[in-house]
Amino acid sequence: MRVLLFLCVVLAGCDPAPTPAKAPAPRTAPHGKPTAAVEVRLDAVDRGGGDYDVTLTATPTVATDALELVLDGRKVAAGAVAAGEARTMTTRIHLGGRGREVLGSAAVGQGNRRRNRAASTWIGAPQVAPAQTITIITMPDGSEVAEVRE
Amino acid sequence: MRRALVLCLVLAACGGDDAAGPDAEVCDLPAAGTCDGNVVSRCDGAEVVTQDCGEDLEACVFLDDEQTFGCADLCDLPGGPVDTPVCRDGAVVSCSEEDGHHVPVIVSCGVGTVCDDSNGAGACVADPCSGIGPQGKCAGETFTACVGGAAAETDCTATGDVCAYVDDATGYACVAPATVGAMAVAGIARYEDRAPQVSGALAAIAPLPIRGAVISVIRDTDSVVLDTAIVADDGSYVLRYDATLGELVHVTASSSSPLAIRPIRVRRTMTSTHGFGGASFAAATATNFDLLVTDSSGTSEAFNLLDQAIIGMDTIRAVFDDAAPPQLTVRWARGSNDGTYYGGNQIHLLGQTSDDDGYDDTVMLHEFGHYVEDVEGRSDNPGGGHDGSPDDPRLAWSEGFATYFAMMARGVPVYMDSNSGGGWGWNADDSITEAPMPTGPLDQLVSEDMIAENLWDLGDAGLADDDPMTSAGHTAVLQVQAHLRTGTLREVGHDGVDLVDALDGWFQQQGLSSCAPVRTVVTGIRKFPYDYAGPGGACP
Repeated sequence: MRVLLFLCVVLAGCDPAPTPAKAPAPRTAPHGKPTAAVEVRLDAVDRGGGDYDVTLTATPTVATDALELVLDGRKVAAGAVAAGEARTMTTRIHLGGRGREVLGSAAVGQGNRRRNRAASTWIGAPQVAPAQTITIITMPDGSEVAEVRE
Repeated sequence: MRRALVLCLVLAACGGDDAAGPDAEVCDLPAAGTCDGNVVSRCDGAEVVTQDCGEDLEACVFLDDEQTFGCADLCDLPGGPVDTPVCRDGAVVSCSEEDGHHVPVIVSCGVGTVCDDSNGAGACVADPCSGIGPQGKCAGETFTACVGGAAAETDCTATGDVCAYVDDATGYACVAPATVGAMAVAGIARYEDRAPQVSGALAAIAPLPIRGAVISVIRDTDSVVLDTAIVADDGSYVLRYDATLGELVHVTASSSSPLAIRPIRVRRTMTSTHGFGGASFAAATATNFDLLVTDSSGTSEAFNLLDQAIIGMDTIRAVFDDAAPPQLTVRWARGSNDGTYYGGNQIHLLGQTSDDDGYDDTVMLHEFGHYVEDVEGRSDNPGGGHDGSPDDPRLAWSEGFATYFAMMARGVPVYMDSNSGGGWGWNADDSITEAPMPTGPLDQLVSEDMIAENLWDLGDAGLADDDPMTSAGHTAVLQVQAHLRTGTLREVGHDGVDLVDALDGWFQQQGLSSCAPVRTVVTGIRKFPYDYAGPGGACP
């Protein structure tokens, strides 16, 4: 697979969302798990000819000493970043008619602590779920079991 | 409480009997007295009376009964003084010497071990009931049950019986052959686990017993269930069924536990639990079949989540004596993207490629911690995202407690969350997260990490403990939830349950003798300005 990495992290002046303080945390799910103080987004653009530009956008929600971006296996250190300031990383991926999942993540560090958050996006030909035969077994108490066999 | 009072009148401190002047007639110590190291001082009229508690290896502490400072042997614990190591609440309690006085040392016995002092001295030993489970087990025709904390074996053949699973209320037992099927299949059921590492990454695959899960023998032709049982905690099972000799059947494990003490179902869809069926075999009077739920099947994680929930349920039973907690439903499937969260006796877990929580033991047990709040304690958590930053004190308390629960249930002070970026881990025992405003209000925003660190330091103990709180244990920390559930909360701090209310409960339950070490942990190390004046009394 031909992969062209043509963009890097823009360390200054790239989408600096002007958020001076801690960005409001989303309150969508009750009692969620602990997360990293960074929002992560993956966007893909079809450039034609089987080429896709995939962009990872990482936005710390609190000021961080060390922001690190990882996209499709490539890692870039972005250093200290203020809360609300986005950093991006883009890679070009050539698929040749196939499709695949692209993974990205961002880690924030504060002192000796590090937390990260990951995201994924599918590019190219639509994802086909692997064939798996499931048999519904009805138990004596009426409950159902979705049985997988190999 | 045993106290050897060695009083010593120090007349010189008040000027002696020939001292002149009005100051000599005044003892200006607080009414409760004071401690200076191991020396207690208090007023006797105008005289200062001092007592060196260390002469008898006692410590100068605040005496709850008398509301004064005095000497106490800290190894003189409820339940009797500790001279040699003894077992108390499942932990080894011994007496050591530190700073010139006795100090109790509590070592909680880890997973799979229990405290045994039958030989005169307490020690953590392999749990004789480990691997049996609440429903007992069969090994051939030998029935084994856990009776009074010890394994009790019965040879079923001695009475002409066979060992079989009767029902969920009875479990395995010796029964008459005519009451069970003529065919039998027995073996070990395991699932492929990937244990979380300190870094957050997952370890290589290693099989673990599918303890507590439902296991069935199924007829291939019409998927009819011929017999069902519960897998023992060591993974062993036996199923006895009726079928035509030679017809094809198979064994299936499902990710649920119907036992009243472990009411758990891990569902793939709204209505179905996960199931994994083994290879078919011909029905026979005796078949040995080991089942291995593979990672590649996409179902092994469901059995890991069941295993973690069983850890949680067993903790509930041990700490709160709750033998019938409400049904817990866990929702997970590969590809699931509806988030990881708890609400209404349901835990939802991510199953995405980028973030799959199926093997993330501490993530599962964190969410189980919210279930514990729900069914045994109280939470006023407003919900929503959280990342360790200072936040609403009700959210910080609830999330910090949930993380602490995950750590204490596994006996390791590390929270871990894997993802496609490598994941992350965090150790509460070697971290210090301070309150943002050490002289600020009690209802200030605080970090959930500060909560978890404080709770771990209050609950951990042992010879290697790195904090001064050595005389409690994790059970005492968890039992604060009982206070939060039923107690009247003070109108300080934030409205609703937060760290202030938890500390109030701690002192109500544990007394004020723990004031000094708690103050060191909570306020000295982590700068939280608790007022130490809750309904349990005012700390001196």
